[in-house]
Amino acid sequence: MTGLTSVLLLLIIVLGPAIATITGALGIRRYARGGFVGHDQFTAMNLLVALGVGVLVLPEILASIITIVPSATSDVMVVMLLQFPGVILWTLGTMSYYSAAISALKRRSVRGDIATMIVVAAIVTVTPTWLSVDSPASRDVIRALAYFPTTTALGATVIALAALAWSFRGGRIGIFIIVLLAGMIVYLVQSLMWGALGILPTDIITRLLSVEAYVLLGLTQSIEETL
Amino acid sequence: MDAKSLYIIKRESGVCLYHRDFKEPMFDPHLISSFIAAMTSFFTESNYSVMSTARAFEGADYKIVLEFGEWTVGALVVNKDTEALREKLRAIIQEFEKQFSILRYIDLDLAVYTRFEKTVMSEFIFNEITPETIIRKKLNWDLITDNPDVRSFLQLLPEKCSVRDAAEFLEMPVEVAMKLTAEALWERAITVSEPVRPDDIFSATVRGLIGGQTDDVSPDTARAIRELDGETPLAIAAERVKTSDLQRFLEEVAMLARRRAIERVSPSQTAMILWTSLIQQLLNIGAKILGTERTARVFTEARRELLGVYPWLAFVDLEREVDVDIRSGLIASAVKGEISPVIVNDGFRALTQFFTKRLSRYVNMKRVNEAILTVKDTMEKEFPTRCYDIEWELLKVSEESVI
Repeated sequence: MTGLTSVLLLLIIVLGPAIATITGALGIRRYARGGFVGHDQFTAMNLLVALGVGVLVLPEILASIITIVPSATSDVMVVMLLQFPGVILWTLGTMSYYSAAISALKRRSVRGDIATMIVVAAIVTVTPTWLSVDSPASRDVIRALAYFPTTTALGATVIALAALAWSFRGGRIGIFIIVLLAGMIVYLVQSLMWGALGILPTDIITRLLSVEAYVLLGLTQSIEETL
Repeated sequence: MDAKSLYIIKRESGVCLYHRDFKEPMFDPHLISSFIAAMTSFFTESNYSVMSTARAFEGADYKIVLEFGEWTVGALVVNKDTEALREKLRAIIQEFEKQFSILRYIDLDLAVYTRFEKTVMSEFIFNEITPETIIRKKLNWDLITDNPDVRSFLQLLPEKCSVRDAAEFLEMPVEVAMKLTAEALWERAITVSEPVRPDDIFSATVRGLIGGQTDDVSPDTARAIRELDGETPLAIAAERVKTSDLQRFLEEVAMLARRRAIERVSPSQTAMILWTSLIQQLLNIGAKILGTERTARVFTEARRELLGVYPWLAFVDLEREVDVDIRSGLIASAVKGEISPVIVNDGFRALTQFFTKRLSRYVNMKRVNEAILTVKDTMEKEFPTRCYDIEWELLKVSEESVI
């Protein structure tokens, strides 16, 4: 390992959990003013995103530990499994905001939309694993369970945010949603990289992508403040 | 019809130059003109306030409102003193002074009653008649009027029908039927009333709540009376008590209104309720998309821009995040008729336009216009007729909208 790679790796080991912690903490502090319940859907979405980032500190710490002390592949699956609670918070927040915004504008139920998003996300998640010979998610049930729910939830979140970004294009809130979408896409990519290509979540590239996602999600808080 | 009698009095001499009883005569014109001349003279001469001028006198179930011209005083006997009636009275005085200016200096027989009749009719009668107005013939109408046009009009009509139905029945244009109705009303051969519609807004009076007034109505209607808070349309009140027969409910409401057990809210109040409902729905949509805090800020900014032109908008506030709250001062003005429905409509329309324009910066124009259409659909259910009093196209945001 070259010196530069070591420095980079050291940075990633520290940065990942640190940025996730800071982003999560700042977001919770901002959006949980007055409690965790009783907020409008927009604030609730931002709060759940911040909470999700906070929860993702755990898999970040585990990934950092695994990077320092390499161990069995099963620990890598734990990293993937631990991402699910954080990601599902993102999905819940986004879907409830989508539902509130679209049903308020169009006065129609969005259950069909959400079901469609989940199905499409599942198809998008499964397809690379079928096509790739190196896909760890297709090897056994446990790996599949570690991969599919997280990535499907992320996929559905990305689709919902893309739909919202299209709906509100040209408006100031469109910019906020686009940055949020970018963060989710980056996180989805790092998840797909393991499931489809077998690139470990402890790899430098994957760690960098996670950090980038947290930075983008943190940026949305600043954008929201200046709206 | 709120006006009962009209008197135009020469200030200098106290002589009644013109009078008209729209309903049964209440006062002797010479007696009342002397009284008004004396009282106004008293107030003017009184040295406690240079601005002191009598503007109204109140009886048990009537008010005499006064407006002053250059050399005449107009007195209108009314049920309720409203700004709209005062405006009409001022217009009448102005027209009278213009048409009969010579009477200021000398007394002449100028056939005042005949020449001024059309002016008074157009100011007080024609505006009251719409195609939906209900005509009720008086018992001995044929002894009351000699007008051949009115007699032939009323001869074939049933005891009660609308102007539109009368036009259809007699195979004449609605405008002609409206004109004949006005003449019949002028002759006092009929009484007119406005039909009760599902989106009318009434409030229960103390008299109505005390009891006895609602003994002969259906239980549903009696329960619905308590829902009439001066803000709830009749259709919603009927829905709340799960009335089975809306038509019967509306007929009973009309009967209770004639008995004064309930009273229709003023046109200004109605306009205010309509616009408040519209703005509230837009605010709710905005709150779901942008958050309550941001939506409230957008609303407050929009309102601040308009305070110079419509200072009364300061009484339109938000409480508990995005709940529209009209302060009691503005409500009281609307009840008393101190603020006209035209001004209410103008102010709220401007406020809505400013708010939607600002909202479009956050969300984009197409979505805001979609929201406006969604609100329109909802309001068509709550206010089936009044909804169309709002010019929805003017509320939409376009590239050309300028703040």
